[in-house]
Amino acid sequence: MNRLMTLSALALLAGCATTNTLPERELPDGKAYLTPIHVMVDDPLNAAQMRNQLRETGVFRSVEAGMGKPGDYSVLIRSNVQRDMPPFPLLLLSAATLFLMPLSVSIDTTTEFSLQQDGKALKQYRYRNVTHKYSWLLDGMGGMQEQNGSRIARAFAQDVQRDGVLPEETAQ
Amino acid sequence: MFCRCRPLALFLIAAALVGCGTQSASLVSQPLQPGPQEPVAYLVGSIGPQSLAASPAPNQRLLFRKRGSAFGAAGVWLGIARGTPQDVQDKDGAASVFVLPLKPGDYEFYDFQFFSSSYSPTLGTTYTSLQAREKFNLPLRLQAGKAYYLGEFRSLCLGASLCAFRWRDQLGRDESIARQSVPGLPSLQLLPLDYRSAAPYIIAPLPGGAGQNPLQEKRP
Repeated sequence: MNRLMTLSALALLAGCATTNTLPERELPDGKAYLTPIHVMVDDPLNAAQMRNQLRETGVFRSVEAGMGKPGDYSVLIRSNVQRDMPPFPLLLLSAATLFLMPLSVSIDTTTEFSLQQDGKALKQYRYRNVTHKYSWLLDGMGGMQEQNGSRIARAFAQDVQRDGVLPEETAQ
Repeated sequence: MFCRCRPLALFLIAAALVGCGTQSASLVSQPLQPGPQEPVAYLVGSIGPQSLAASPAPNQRLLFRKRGSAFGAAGVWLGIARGTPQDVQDKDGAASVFVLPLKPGDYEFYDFQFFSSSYSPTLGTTYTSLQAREKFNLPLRLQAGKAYYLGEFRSLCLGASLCAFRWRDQLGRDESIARQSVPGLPSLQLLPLDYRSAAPYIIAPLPGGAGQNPLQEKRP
């Protein structure tokens, strides 16, 4: 009986954990910064947040907004975000059980990064991350959206660093 | 009976007095704290309002992070009940000196925070947090056994939503205060950072003294 209760408690708690389809990337410490990039995002509401997520990776010397001067490297970001909410009858059922019944919420993001210099495309990167979580109705998204975007930004930063498309910053 | 109660009474008095004390101006997250036998790098600076009347936020922070990680450290000034030690007392301002003991490595000075809460009977408690919308990046490479001085950051506010820090070099004054809290501190060296990328939030004279007191330069 005890074992059954422990197992069911574990199963319930495990269901509350947030899952991502894109694995977490480890970024190496102590490497030289990559040259500054100018980042333009097609979603003006989340542009600042996306630039901040690229800054958090610690890979680029600086991440600026806008076009930049001739010769500068720029990154165009196109992002498609889909939030899946449970069907309305389930929301009602959750409310009827005083929000005890957890609901499945997910964010499905596909982001395309186009690395350019003087209007010439250097390389394209494309990532998809589905973040999923069981949460209570009034719990909200929590940190799901940040985690969803942060994984994509880290994956892009690591791939750019590995490919050597951008030169390293020499002057500290 | 009294003997049995005495430890409890002493504990209660001690607990009450702890609430009246000050708290540290240095905040380092657990994974960045060096162990007892591990090498240490120190980051020193001071933070506080230029004028207590004109700076409404009682909680001000300078935020640092380990490069590429989610862990960070902060230099804090707290002006309310259990505040940080008011090491510097000016005509109408105050500041606390922070000494951050960190594991050596690459760090970034990336953000600041002004935090305040206000209570009104109709709305309840309202929290206000002011941070940089677009974070800046000032890289710090900290070597073991060295102590780096960032500078003095004094906040100035115009209203509740326009706040900035004014940077000054106060190495001589802050070093003696820092040495009182950490006795074995190595001698401080000024860390020259280019604050132009943090321009609207941190106001500093241009590097190399260009544009610094142009009136004085004209004097014979």
